[in-house]
Amino acid sequence: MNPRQAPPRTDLPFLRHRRIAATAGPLSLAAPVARRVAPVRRVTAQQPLILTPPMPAAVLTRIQSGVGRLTVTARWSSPLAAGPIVAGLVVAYRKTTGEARLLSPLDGPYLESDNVRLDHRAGAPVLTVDLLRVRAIDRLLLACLAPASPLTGALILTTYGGSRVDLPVTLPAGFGAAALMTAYQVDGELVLRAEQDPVGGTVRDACLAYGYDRFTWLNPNTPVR
Amino acid sequence: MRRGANASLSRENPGLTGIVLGVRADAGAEKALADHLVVAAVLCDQAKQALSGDHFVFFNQLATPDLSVEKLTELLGPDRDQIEIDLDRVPESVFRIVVILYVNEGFPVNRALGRLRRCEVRVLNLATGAELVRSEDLAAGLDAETGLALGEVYRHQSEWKFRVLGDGYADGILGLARDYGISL
Repeated sequence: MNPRQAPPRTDLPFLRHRRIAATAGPLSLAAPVARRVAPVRRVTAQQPLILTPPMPAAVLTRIQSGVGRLTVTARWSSPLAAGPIVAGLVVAYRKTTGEARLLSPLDGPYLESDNVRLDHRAGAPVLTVDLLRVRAIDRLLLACLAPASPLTGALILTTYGGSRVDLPVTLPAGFGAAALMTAYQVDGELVLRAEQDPVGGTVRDACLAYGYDRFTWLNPNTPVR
Repeated sequence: MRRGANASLSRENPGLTGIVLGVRADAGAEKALADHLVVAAVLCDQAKQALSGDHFVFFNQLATPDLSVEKLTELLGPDRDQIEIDLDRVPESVFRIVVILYVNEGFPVNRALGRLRRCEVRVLNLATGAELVRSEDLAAGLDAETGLALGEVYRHQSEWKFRVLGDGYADGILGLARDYGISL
């Protein structure tokens, strides 16, 4: 692919600003070289967004990031099998104060901490974030524990106003723990990124891979409370 | 001032360059309600539609890009929330600034504005802190509403005026967003 015609790659920092190569000839200050900047992908109720490996990121406006709640629902093609490890969603988040929290279905089907709620009671796991305290959150990681069978489906993220972001998920069987999505609060805007990253065998591996290193672990899947 | 009443600001107060909209919302012992109340300002065009998403001022977006309207983080007086307006800086395209109150439905709180003991909006002179006008108690007419348009500052010919609205919305911020063109 000709680099001059290739689209910007928002997932690769060094390719986010592609520049046209300099050509031979006198420098013309009257005609500056055009600089292509990767566009910010926004979400609207009229146009759902799908995050894919070539374009994994999207940014919610401050209104979308601050009004009502954010809901992330996991829709799997088959129910997650129970086994030595109860499969489901794991949420790790760091507050702006530096404190870190971890919510795991291993601790129970319904968990609430600060303004984050994780509910596994009714089939599809649901993460809910009360956005009234969005500025208290610095970043968040959503991971999945491995079922016995391959995992396909999607995370469906919905804002209070009905805007929707889909994150397709395809993971092989026995991947251990996989990071599915990260969110970063940047001056009131939530930057969402699809990860789909099978990081290793345990919740601890997933947390450490994404910088959540302030937990003390009872075992590789359970932090000390 | 009763619902629907209006008053001149700039004509009655020559030299007025800035105002503060103060909102008082007394929830009494209803802590769940008090903790989920949000005050915001919407800058609207002639069609009463928000200019853009940048023209919705609330806790997560404290000022408009031109800084003509700001939500104060340090309050001047006993109000629950205050919004400062630099009248000279408000763009020509802004015809009204509506101050609203809504219950944020993060986790459902099952509380409505009808549980408020008292709810008022007032206008202060930014330079002197003097109260210029104050609405009647708007909580009196509320029941299951979770959103309320309290009042508006608007252009009328060459002057700025204030009108008490008191329009309740059973669907809260969703209804307010629909009526004022706020993109959620």
